[in-house]
Amino acid sequence: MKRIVTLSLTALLTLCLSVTVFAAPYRNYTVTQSGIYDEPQAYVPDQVIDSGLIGLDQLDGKALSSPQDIVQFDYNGDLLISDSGNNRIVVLKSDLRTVKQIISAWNNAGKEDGFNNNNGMCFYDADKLLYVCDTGNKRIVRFAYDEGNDQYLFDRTFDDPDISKYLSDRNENQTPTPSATPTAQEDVEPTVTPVPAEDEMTEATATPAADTLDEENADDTTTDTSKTSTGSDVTQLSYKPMKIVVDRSMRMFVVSRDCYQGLVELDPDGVFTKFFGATKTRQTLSALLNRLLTAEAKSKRQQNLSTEYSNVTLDPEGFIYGTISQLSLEELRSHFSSSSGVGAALRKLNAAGSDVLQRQGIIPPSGDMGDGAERSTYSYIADVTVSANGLASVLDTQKGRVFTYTSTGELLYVFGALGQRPNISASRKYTDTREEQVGFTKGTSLQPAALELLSDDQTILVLDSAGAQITSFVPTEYGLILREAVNSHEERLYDKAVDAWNKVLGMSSNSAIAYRGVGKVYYMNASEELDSDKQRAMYLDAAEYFKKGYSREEYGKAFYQYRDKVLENVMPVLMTVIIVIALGAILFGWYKRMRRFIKTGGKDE
Amino acid sequence: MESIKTFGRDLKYAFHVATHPLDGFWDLKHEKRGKMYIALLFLVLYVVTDILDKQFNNYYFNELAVFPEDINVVGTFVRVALIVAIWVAANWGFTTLFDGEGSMRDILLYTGYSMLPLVLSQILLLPLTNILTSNEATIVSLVTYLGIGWTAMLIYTGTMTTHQYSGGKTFLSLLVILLGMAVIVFLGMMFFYLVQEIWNFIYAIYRELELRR
Repeated sequence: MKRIVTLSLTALLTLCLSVTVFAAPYRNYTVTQSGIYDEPQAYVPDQVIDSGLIGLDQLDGKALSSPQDIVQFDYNGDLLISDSGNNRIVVLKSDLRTVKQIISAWNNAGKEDGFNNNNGMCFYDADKLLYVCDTGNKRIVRFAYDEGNDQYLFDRTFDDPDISKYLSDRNENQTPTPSATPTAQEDVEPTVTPVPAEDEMTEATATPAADTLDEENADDTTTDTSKTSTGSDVTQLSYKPMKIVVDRSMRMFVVSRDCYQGLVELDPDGVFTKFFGATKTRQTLSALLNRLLTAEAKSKRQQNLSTEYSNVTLDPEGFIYGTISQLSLEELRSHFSSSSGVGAALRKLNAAGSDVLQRQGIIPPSGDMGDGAERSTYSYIADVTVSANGLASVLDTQKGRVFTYTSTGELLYVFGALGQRPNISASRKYTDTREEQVGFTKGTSLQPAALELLSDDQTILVLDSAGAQITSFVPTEYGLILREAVNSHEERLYDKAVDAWNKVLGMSSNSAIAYRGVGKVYYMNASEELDSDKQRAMYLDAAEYFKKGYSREEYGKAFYQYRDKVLENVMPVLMTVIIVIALGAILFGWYKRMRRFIKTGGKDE
Repeated sequence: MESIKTFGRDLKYAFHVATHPLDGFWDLKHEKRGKMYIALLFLVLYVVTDILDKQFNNYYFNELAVFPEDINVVGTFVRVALIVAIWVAANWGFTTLFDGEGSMRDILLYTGYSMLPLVLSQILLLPLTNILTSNEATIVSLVTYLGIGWTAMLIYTGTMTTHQYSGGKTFLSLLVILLGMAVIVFLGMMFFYLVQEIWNFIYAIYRELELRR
């Protein structure tokens, strides 16, 4: 009887296990000093949204064709798909099933206008405005959401700001001779003026991205970052807006392809302000040498160029997150060994354009750490989306993985994988049944292009450009508890956080981040504890948890506090003993001298 | 009782060598005051304290504390024994050619006696790392480097005194000895590789014969 029970239990267990294992065609893993460990799945694919499901055939018979970006309008939950291959935007209702509107043509000052290979999109929620990168037409197109009609209507365009002009200006400013300034004064507006429209938006100045003091100076500190390439190249640089983000004071930050100077910052009227947040390059000997060279010599040398951004997004606090995809192997190798901002695939930019992302994890938040020999073993990060509590999810196009990091840069979980194109030629003709159309495994993408966190703050959509579909991923129980733990910690609900971390440890006993999470709370509680015996014990507990979480620095801190408390207890006794011994020695010396004195009868010899 | 007394005296002499190396190493060889068992004891103690450090030093100073399975006791013993053997061989081989006066025994002797500061620093680190914290990390590294530096100094002086070399010649010969150690390691690996090849060859012939029987 017992055996049958055990057998059936095992069978049940295997069934459960196999269910969880096969729920997703990828692994979730964590990285520790001693290697990579598997963890329970945190996110599983939920539904696949493609042209057939949303009924695009009934509307105009054109399926999605290499879509490049998705964005959700937080106001009403609409999901917008930048359907670049068809030069249009498909607007889905918040159920993600029905098409609400297709933006493809509009009336611009009496003329018929449309997209040419439209790419990135973003919303300016306060005024319900939609910004779209119209890459082929070298411009940004703005749409306004009309609540009455529940439609997005054409508002205005921001045409090519001619960035190469400012590039050459910048070069002149950089030459050491002070006489270069008069030439710069001829066209005043670009590099020197702060943001002209600042006064209109004074209420926004409190936000981090609106703090524009000393921008030029701040830029100069990271100057060797924005090295321009040779003079001839500069003039050829054209404006190819790929991705866009609009901050709270309506300034636009545009990712322009092949623009190594950082993001293109435009004021609310589309006038060029400056280049923003150039990526840092490695400080090499040849870069130092470059500073000593004249302009002509510089133009002959090949320069250590910064890397262009691949995507940008705005986090709920107003910081701009940028991703960098085309990093070199050397940059990544040094980045992963030093965890510094140089060579980072993910950056968090403050108002001055410098990187303020925390990188406290075992490996920095730049995707997979490769083997150090092949670039392809590292990640190519193409998109990022940030949750309300600062959980940043980044998309790796090389392996199709989505990495999620805490606000301090520790890896939480990984999901997603690359798929294979179905071997059916008819697969491009969609039908009503999803299985026939999607020949590849659910939860994989052929060519992931964009990422979007829905407004429920947990569902993540991955846009597959080549597969022309969107996969939504939802957290498993493990993922939910993990998120609850991190979120409670961010919200300072520490007791709740400890409970959640302990639940995480129950599901995954090796979870270093959970041990560290418990340790952090214990450490914090200990510092508020008044009873010194309890406090000592709590610091020791915290130290033990940090040790299990492989967090050497934090362990050092907790152990320091523990040692301090022990010393506090021991010190009185220790000092008493030392003083008694010292006094005893002195007295004994006196006693001996006294005896000798008496023995010799007072004669000192 | 007598043996304990001699042991005490021998041990005390080792401290004398460490603090007065020129005088100490001279007497070590010429006055026959060096004892082989003390030299070997120090070498063994070095391995033991090294393993103890890896096992029991505080995690903050010793990452291995959380991966105790990575500590290989036998491996450490063998490695140290091999390094010492190669060092003695290379040292003797080179110095005999260049007017060095030390025998293999002398070399092993002064090498063992030179280990004392290293052993002491490692013993000291054991309580130290468990009392000190991140703020006093410099003290820990000071003790570590002091032990290594002092032992290096002793090896240098020992080589100089034992072989009757001048300062510059000692320095050069130490470099050459290190080079020689590398050559020995290389030859050793090549030898093992060739033996393996020969063994494979013989085994192949044996297999052939076995199959055709």
